[in-house]
Amino acid sequence: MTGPGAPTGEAARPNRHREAVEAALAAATDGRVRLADAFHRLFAVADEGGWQGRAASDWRRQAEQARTATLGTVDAFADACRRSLAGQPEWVPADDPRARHPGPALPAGGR
Amino acid sequence: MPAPANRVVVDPHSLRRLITAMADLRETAQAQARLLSAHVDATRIAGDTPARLRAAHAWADQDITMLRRRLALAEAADPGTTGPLPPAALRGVPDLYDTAEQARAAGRSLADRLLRPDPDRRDRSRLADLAAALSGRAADPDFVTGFYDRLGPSALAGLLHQVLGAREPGAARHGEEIIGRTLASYSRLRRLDASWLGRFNSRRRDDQVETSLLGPLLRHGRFASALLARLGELLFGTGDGSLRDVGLQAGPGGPAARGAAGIRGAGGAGDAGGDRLSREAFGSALLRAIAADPELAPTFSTRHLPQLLHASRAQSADVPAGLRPAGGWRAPELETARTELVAAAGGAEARLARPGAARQFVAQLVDVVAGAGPSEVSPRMRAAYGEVLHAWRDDLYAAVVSPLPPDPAALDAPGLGREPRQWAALLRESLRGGASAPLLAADAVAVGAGIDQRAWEQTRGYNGPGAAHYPASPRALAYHQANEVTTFFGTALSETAERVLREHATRQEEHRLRTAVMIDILAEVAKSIDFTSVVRTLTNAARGLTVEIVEDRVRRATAHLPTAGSQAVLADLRAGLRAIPGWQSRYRASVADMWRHRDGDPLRPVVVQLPGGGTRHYTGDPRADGFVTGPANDFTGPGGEPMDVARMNREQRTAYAAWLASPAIVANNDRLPAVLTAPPADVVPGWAPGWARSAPAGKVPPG
Repeated sequence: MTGPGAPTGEAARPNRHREAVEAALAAATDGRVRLADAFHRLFAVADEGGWQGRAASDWRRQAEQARTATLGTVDAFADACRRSLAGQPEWVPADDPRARHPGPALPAGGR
Repeated sequence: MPAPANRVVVDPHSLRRLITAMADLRETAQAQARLLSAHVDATRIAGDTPARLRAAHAWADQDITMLRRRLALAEAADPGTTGPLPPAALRGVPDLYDTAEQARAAGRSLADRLLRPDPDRRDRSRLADLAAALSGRAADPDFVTGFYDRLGPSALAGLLHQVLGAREPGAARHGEEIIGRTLASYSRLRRLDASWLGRFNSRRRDDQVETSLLGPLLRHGRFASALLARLGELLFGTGDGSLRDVGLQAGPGGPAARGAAGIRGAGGAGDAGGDRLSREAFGSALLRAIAADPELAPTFSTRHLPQLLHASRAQSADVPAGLRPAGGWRAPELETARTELVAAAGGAEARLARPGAARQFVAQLVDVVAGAGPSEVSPRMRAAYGEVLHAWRDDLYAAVVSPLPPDPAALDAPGLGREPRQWAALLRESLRGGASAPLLAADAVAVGAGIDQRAWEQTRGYNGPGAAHYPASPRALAYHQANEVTTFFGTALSETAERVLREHATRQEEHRLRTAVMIDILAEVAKSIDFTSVVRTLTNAARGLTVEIVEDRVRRATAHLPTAGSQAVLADLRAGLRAIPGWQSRYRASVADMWRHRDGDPLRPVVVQLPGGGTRHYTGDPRADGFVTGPANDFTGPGGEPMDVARMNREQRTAYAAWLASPAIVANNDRLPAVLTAPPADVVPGWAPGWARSAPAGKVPPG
């Protein structure tokens, strides 16, 4: 409790909800990179021309839609996290529910 | 590059990587869905992110199934290829089905339409529709499986009676091609066992096979090896007896409208040589299909080699016409296919696909031909022997030049454990056909030149400045071996010619023509051989001599073809050859003697330059020189001398052979010229090259 802007009153507690949102934003940012990489590798192989034809073109369109939707939803979640952070103090009174928030989600064992 | 409309281009190798990339994406989407779902729960930020990620996972999962099916289709289009496949061009029809089950259901539905009763047999469009539907889906394994599973063997036989009996030859050919291609695929997808074959007849029996219906189909696809083998046993009468080959059936239950005679006459246009639905046509097609299967050809041919050769001998002019067997596997009409099978079983493809089986086949061929002695097989069979010898020329001559006696059990050793005299028998039988003689002569020259070249590479620089004088050149043995190769071939050629000359003198007029032409050809080959150049030998010889060309020369030969000139050429060849029997044992004895006296008469080291730079020092000691590396390959006995070669194991023999041919052993062997009796020109006893004479006595080169 020594960082800049740290409250001096004994009643101040870290905003655990804010910590959870910060962790969610970090996870969303990292997840977006991983998903974008996976799509990039997919399209790089597809661009080699090993599969051509009407069905391949249809599949390509669907894959592009899937990329847009997937990355878009992660971006939307990250934006929501940023908005949430903008309105949140780092410290809250001890009796604030955010001080009693369980904090960031534990890694689920996935990437 | 966009593909034309209605066409699908698939590179299976690239598609496999696309599936891998798709699987990576699926796993990433699943992991992120789990992770962000936990964060959504923790932050209570509203949104559908986890659900959308799960949708991406589901989309990827579904498309992986679709892509895998496409890959199966592409691979089915070229099932014989392994490793990276070339792009397969498939017509757009496989896109009709998204899943394997949909394709199988469509195949079953097509079969159901055919199985519907059609007592008048007038539904011509039904057959045309069948051909069109099957043709578009021939590369779809699921459709093909669904179709033939539902149709069953008995209905298939009935269908073939209709298709092969179509009045328009074009329709029959198209139908047989489509059914041939798809049935070939089906045979690889399902095990068509004795139970299936027993029901392959139009009389609804369970123990009869209408093999003749398969004859026209076999050339249109790659049928499963197991099915071909089973049919082969049926052809040779070596099956388990549960099935009966009924050829082609007629009458009730069979081709009711026309009868077997009717379908025999139909669709045969352009099929010169007679009845394409005969047992003989089936037998030829089957043997050719087996020959085209490099996995099966060597094992099947090994099993039936005596029959294949017996059938060829039975057609010879020595057997009175009335006594020549006909029918079944012995039929003269099958001779070309029999010879193609022998050539394929010992050919390069079989050797690559099944090395062990191919070695066994060739060893058996050598054994059988050598054991039978001179015999009358067809000119085509002699040409097949030539093709086998060409593919195995390194083994043929390894047997000739090895300093060890052959080990008959060592099929994987160079020479296949066969004796030079056995290989010679096969070589003579092939040369007698004439057609293979130029190729086999070129092989002998190539092998001799190769031995020479390798000896030079292995002993490069041994006689450089500062080298000592050796009793013999370290290349002397290789020189002798190269001479042995040419002597061996020349001897076989001249012995063959002498046999033909004897026949020429004793045979009837009609056979004198053939023998006279043969003498001519063998003399031409003898004249063409230039043991210093493969290229010149091939240029001199009648390149591309075939059985057809030889037969044409026999036909055009006049009754009084002069043979005196040819006989003189062959006599010269005979006089110029010196066979040296038993040199191997004499050579081994000379090395053992030299080694026994090594204390009083030390061996001089030989230093050679290595290809990558640096030198190698050969002392003659089998351990110091790296030939004996441990107890497993230690060929020395009490006193450090080589033990009896008959008692050596495989590793000991290998190490012993390498040591016998090593530079220090060869170079120090002052008995060599006497042992080999035909020394190379530069190692005449009593002569030493300039570098040797100027070297100070007893000086050992550095290194």
